Amino acid sequence: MAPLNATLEIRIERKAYPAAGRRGSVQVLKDIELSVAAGSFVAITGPSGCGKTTLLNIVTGIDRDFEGSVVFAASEPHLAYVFQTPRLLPWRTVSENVALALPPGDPRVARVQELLVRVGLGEVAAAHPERLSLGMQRRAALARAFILDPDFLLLDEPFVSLDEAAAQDLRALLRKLCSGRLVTVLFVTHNTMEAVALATRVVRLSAAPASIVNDVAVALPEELRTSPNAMAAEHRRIFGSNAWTDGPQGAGRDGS
Amino acid sequence: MAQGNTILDNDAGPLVRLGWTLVSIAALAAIWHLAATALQSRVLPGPIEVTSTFLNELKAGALAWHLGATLARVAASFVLAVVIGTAIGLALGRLRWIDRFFDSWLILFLNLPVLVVIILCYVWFGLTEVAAITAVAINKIPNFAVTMREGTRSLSKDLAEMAEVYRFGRLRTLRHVILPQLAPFFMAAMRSGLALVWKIVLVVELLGRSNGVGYQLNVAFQLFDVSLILAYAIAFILVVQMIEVGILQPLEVRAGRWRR
Repeated sequence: MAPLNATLEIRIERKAYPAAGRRGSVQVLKDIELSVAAGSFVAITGPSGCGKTTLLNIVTGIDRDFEGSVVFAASEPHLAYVFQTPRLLPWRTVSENVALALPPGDPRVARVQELLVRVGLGEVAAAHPERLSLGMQRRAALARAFILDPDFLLLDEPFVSLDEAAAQDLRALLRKLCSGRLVTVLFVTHNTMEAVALATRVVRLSAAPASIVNDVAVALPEELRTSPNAMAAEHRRIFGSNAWTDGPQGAGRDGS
Repeated sequence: MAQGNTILDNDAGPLVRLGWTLVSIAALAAIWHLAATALQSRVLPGPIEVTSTFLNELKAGALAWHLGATLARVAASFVLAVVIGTAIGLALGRLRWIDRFFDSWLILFLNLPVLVVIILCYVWFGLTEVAAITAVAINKIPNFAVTMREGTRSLSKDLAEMAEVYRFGRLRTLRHVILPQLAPFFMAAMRSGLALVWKIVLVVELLGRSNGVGYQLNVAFQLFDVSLILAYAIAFILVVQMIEVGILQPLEVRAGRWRR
């Protein structure tokens, strides 16, 4: 399914890492082709360690050592990345961490406090990140991404190692922040129910070397995304089972 | 230096700690006084005699002059060692081939006896101020380089990637990401460095300068004037403590404010 108004074309023929301790290399990604439509919310799922994080690193340009191309329709797309760990600067306050994502002298710095209030961190804006819970740190990481008004938002298992209630809160927050603006989202997760709850399109990767096994649109209107029955049915349609995680059960939760 | 009250730091207020320090110093002075009175020897003057020597030197201006000369040398050689040592340490930590090449040099300089460096500097550059300061700096540069190399190696790759994605640019990455990570290593190197430089400067002065605390100690040694030696030793300890408490500790507290 190649949308006509693709805003991002990812074409990775091959990505390999040098093998640890011996000659040769380990291939992680193989023949991945994705056209991403503007405004779509693409969930990328797959077993732990299959190369999902590597895929995001290639799209953001952190990792340039691969065969293939990543082409944005816009000449200078605004990109924000929410990492698997919050990656906040521990020696800067929460509001400084958010403000630092902006270029120097950007007027949007006046909106940092307002955004922090929106994500529920209004009270702790002046605190240092290590004094906050992991859930709050993840909220700060979301705020840092959204202060940029990104055209592209990449999230790498942003709600992992939170309890289900906190993850649920953050999913709702992410949906709230995304609504009302045109942002294209690539969302990596191994939690397939999370993928169904948030995404407009689900891409499943195989085990390494990862290639695309399945690429499906989520046919679930916004109002049904809170209904457990509708979600379960859609989950069954896409993933063919009731298990909520992709890949072997009990695989490590924090894989890359 | 100033390590004596670390155990008390956790459970006592500043006044209690100050009280303990005063009591322990008074006890030491009392023991010293008793020993001096019992021995009645010219080579162990009591605290009262040393205090009066101290005050005489202070009044005559000699104390300030010699301490000032020593302080100036410490400052000059310390700044030199910090700047050069940090630059070398950063280069070693960042570029692997530089590290591989210079590693054996570093080991050589780390193990070179202090006295050898001082003597060679005086032989090669003459008994000059430049030679004295160079000798002290050379002794300290390798330690600084090694500490800063460890700091550079431990820089977080995660945060570097974050800074790249959010387009911090060079200057802001340095200021907000790299320097805060290096600060604890820098402070550790400063403290151990200062402790070492203080001691080396005295040796340098003793061997080839005509002022400074080291020179004055040498004069007192030749005159067998133990009272003068102790007076200068005490003046020296006071100044070092003032720098420790007045400059280094507040700096360290400031740098570590964000920690839980």
